[in-house]
Amino acid sequence: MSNEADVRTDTPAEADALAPERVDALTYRLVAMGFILLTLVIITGALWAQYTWHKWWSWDPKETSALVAWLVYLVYLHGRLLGWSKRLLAWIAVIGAVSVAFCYAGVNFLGGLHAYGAPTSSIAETARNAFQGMQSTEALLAKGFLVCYLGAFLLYLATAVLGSGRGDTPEAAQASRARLAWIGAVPVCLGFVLHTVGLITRAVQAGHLPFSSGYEYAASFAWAMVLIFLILQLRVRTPVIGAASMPFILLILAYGFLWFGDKGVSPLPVALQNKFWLHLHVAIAIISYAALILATATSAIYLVKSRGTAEPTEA
Amino acid sequence: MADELDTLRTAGDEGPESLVAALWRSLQSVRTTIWVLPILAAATTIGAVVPQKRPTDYYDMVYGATWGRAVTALGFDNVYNSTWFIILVCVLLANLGACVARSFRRAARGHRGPAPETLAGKLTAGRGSGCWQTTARGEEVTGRLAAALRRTRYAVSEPEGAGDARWLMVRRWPLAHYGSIVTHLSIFAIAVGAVIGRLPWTSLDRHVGLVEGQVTPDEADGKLGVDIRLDDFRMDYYEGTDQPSLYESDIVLLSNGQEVAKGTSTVNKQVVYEGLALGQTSWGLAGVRLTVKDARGKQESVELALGQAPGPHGESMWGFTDQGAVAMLGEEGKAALAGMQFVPDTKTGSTYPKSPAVALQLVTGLGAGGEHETHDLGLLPQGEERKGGAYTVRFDDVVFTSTLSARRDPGLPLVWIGFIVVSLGMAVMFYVRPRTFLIEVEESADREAAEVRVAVAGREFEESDRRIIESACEARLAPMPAAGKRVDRRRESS
Repeated sequence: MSNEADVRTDTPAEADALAPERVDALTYRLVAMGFILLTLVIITGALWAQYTWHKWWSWDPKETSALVAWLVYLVYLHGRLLGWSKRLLAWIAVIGAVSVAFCYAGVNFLGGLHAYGAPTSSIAETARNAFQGMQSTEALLAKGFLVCYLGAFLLYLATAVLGSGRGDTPEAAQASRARLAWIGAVPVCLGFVLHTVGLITRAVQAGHLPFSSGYEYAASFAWAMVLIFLILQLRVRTPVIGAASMPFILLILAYGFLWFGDKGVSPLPVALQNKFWLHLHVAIAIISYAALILATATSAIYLVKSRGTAEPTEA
Repeated sequence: MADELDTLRTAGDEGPESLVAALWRSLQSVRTTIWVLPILAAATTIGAVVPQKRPTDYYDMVYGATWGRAVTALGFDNVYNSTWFIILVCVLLANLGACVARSFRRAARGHRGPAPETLAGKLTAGRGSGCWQTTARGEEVTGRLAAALRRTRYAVSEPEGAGDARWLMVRRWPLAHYGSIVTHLSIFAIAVGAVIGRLPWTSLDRHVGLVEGQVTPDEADGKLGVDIRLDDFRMDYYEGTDQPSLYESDIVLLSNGQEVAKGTSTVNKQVVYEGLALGQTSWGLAGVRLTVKDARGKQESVELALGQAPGPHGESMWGFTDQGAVAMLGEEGKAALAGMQFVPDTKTGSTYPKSPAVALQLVTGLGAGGEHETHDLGLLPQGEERKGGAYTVRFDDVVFTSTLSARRDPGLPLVWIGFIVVSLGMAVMFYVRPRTFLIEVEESADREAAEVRVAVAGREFEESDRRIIESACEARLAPMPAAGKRVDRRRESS
């Protein structure tokens, strides 16, 4: 699609991990992965719709908002082919993330076949009862990973702001940043383990992957984001990427816990009974959304890092 | 390299451009795509946000009179069927087709790789090129290079070159050059499949309402092709809950009164007959079926109609309708049975007909001169019977209605193929890098040394390839001759 120079990260490991060119390449990788998966989300959704609703495309708000997100990322990819300014592309990636957020959450306000419905109680009340549907172990795990992620965000923020990588040479500064990144990565890893165990517990109880309620979907979505974030963190060892990514993860979790709350395991509606399509479609969706939302984090970093610099455009 | 050749071929072709040519050039441009895509995204967003296909009053009520009128005037109330949206999609598809046509030549060139005769004397410095000097003989270097590249899963051929130089054509995944074309074509195929699936003379998309025990004839247009009889409709629930776990209809398809197919249609399983797919979509209650037995033992089946009525809290509930809730009994009509109340679920109070009961009144002694008598039968659960005067009334069953989607979509195979191909095409586009490069090995005049020149088709030169070549040549990197500065060593030496 794009020329390979964009994809390759030839920058030596010891060089600046947050060099604009490298962050742009990371964004492209995330967008490319997310876009392919988004295509598969639309395709598996159409196949499932044909199976269950007997019509592969109904212009349902969820379908159309997924199509909108797909079109926005098409603009990003074609803009890249045309050699558009990378700052402009970064802004398009941000708009893309807004369209993904709309596709994920916005449809709940529009009705249609995919809506999880509006909450039956106020946000404060939902928050008070957020763990009510969980068994005690599950609630403990959920509280555990929430604390870990929140703690990790604060640590990332502190290390990103206070210790921006000190050293006499760029290599030494990068090594310093890599060490700082670990401070935040440890609680994220711990939280991820608790999160994974929590989701497995729920899956065992429900007899299917936890995708069937607003809370479960949000928890799984956040889990996919953490997974991709950790892979990202392995490649880009700097706390900045954590400080930019963790707010999105916390936001998704807040949406799940405060907007929907967990009402426990409930039987699958008839339309969701086919577990093959449920698992395939939603699993691809959460990974796709996660990659595309995290591309916003890297885009934001690019926009900050490239501010005021003359940037080269593609030939 | 390929672009340079393209430039050479088209140089001097410039002239005044006709309108058609200009239009074709615009259609072939990615810039057109990039204008159409955001507009299409915005239009689709409008369709997602503004509720579609509602009555005009709805928009006036929700958005106010002015904005409501604007919504309907601009076609925002039915975006996906509006002319401007269809035109937009057509422009995008035309652009897609034109871009594919344009890219095909480039992809074919990438697949074929540059011909040595076109490059003889032109392998010069530029993007994706390299030049090495080695002290080995040309034949030996060529052999070593071919062997090393084959070991790394490259396909290596030795085309007849121009002049005395030796040439190697080195390729990996050459068909991947077509990845972009295949992907774009498959999107085109999906769109065409979608259009075919909506053509009124080839497709069908409607809902068919069926009543248990009755035959629903084909509509006047005869598009269904069959009459449908609903033999049974069943619902089931998750244990201990009010949540349905199953809706299914046993249907029989009839043609000229003869059974041609039958099956059970559920939400997740359609009954398919000659391209017509019938799937379960919704259900309802048509009435209650009762058996009335008189004093002489004569039985009569009676049906009292049910319908939707507002409940005490404004919610919609199943209940007896004013008309149809009374049935005259016997040929003489001396008695009548009236439905007073329908209770869907006597056990848990659910609104689903899980354990229904009916409150009935039996009126006897009707007719000329007689004095009528009213018997209140109370709440009669399903499966039970109760006496009223000389009659015994039994509540047999509720009569369900079932709505099936009836669809015939001849575009479906094209759409499915498009889905498979677009998935594969994208994977190829993003993750399979086609590699084609040409190596020219030119010996020095004394045949004791050689210069190895490499040109890569349209891509950056890979570090891994560089290592392979350097290792095979045991060579040192030499500056590539700059464009126009290349010296033919043989000619010079001679």
